[in-house]
Amino acid sequence: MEKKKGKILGDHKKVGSKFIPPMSQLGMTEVSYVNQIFPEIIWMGLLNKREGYHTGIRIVEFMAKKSIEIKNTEKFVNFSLASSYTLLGADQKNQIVAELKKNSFLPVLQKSLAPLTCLYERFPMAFLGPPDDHNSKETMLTIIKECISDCINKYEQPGMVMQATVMYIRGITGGLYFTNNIKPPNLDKIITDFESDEGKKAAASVRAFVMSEYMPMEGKRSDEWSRSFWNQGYKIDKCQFPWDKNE
Amino acid sequence: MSKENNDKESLLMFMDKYCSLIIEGFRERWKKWEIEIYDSETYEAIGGLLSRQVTLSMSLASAPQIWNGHVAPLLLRAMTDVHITLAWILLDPKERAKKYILYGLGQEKLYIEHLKTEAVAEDNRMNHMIEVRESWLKSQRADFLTEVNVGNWAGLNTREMASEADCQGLYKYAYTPFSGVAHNMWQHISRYNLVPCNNPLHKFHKVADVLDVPSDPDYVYRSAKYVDRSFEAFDKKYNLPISTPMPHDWFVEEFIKINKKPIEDNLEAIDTGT
Repeated sequence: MEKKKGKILGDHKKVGSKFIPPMSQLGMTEVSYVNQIFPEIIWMGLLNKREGYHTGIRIVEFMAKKSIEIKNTEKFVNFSLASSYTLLGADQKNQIVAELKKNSFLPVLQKSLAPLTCLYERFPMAFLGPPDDHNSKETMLTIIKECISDCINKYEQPGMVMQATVMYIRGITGGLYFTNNIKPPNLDKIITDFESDEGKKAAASVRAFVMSEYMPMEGKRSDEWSRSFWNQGYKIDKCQFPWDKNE
Repeated sequence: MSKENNDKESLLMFMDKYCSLIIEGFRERWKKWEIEIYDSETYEAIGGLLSRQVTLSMSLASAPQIWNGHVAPLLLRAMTDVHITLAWILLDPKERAKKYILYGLGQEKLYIEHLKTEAVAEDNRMNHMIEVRESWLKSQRADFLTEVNVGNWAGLNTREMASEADCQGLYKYAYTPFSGVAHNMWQHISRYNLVPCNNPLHKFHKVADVLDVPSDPDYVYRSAKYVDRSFEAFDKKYNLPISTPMPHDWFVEEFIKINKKPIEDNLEAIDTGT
């Protein structure tokens, strides 16, 4: 390893006996990708895993646009986040289901989201219903475990695509503005050229955006589903220890 | 006898010899040190610290069941502390040894006061204990003259003492990580008392468990290094002709005879328990 030059913690500010890192000096509140954001967007991870990125995003876009059209509130709602669907009433949910059925998206969503719909209670998108022929519990556990493992790293492509979709949905359903001197990130590159400079730059913008989308400056978001998702996960399957493989 | 038992036997014999060597090294120094009884406290404080260093290393060397990341760092932390204290006192022995002793007496006075507030008249055992402790305190200094200092005994914290005594490396790379173990901090607990669960549904959480960790003689090697440093600091200050081999050199040379590879090549050597 190359030897680090210069004063240690040089970019930190000393306040009393504490060294405050640069980002905390700006008064930013920490939002946990794993704890808080991930359970809100894992449904898109399941969809992408089964259908591929392009079809997956097309379905999310369809649902978000329909939901925006029929929502009751004037306030912007990002329908890429699972909890947003709790803001819709029963009639509105029925309308969405009908629209999805008309476009043949419903069975795809039902099959993709089956692990969340069938294994978890109070999943905000459970109104979509289970698939006609769902897999065994073991198979669904395997699917969701693989999906979590694939998407839980917010810097890797599967996790990045889910996050980029949050920004994309905000963009196409209204409420995303850039000043003239800021070039919007090229979200396509996150799918088509993830390792390129442009892809990395877009990914960095997306990560920062998703944090603020989850925790808007003016309000506080409920973490009810996020909390429930992780707490239920602990109950539906047992721990796996490094030595279990050898037994 | 199996090879494993033979290895264990030779390792324990090696540790016995190591203990004898450091006792010999300590006793030779004490014997050759020209003591001026008028300033006896200086000699008592420095000699006592040197003895403490040897005692801790011996206790570790003779207990293979604690050569692990759970317990050994507790002793090593104490040893780094002994060395920093000793090295700092050696920069101005008379004044600093006095400060060191007075602080200790003040702490004892405070403890006795606490005991007195709790003791009840009929509790003979407690009253006897208070009496014994008071008599120990008064044998050294009248208690009405004994100040109680609730700050740092040296007026400096350990980092500052280490810096003055040219022990910054020891402070940063040994005292600090070992302190994490001594104070049961997260950087130790998360590695030694929790097991990672690999179930993605469980957010890759950690499960508390009582874990077996491997035994590693490297901890004794490190304690030998600290005894060595303390002997060296003492020798440099008092310029005594010492014939007993230094603990570090002896350890390195002798260990290879029973282990075939040098102790420094042991990959576990970087484990600080944190």
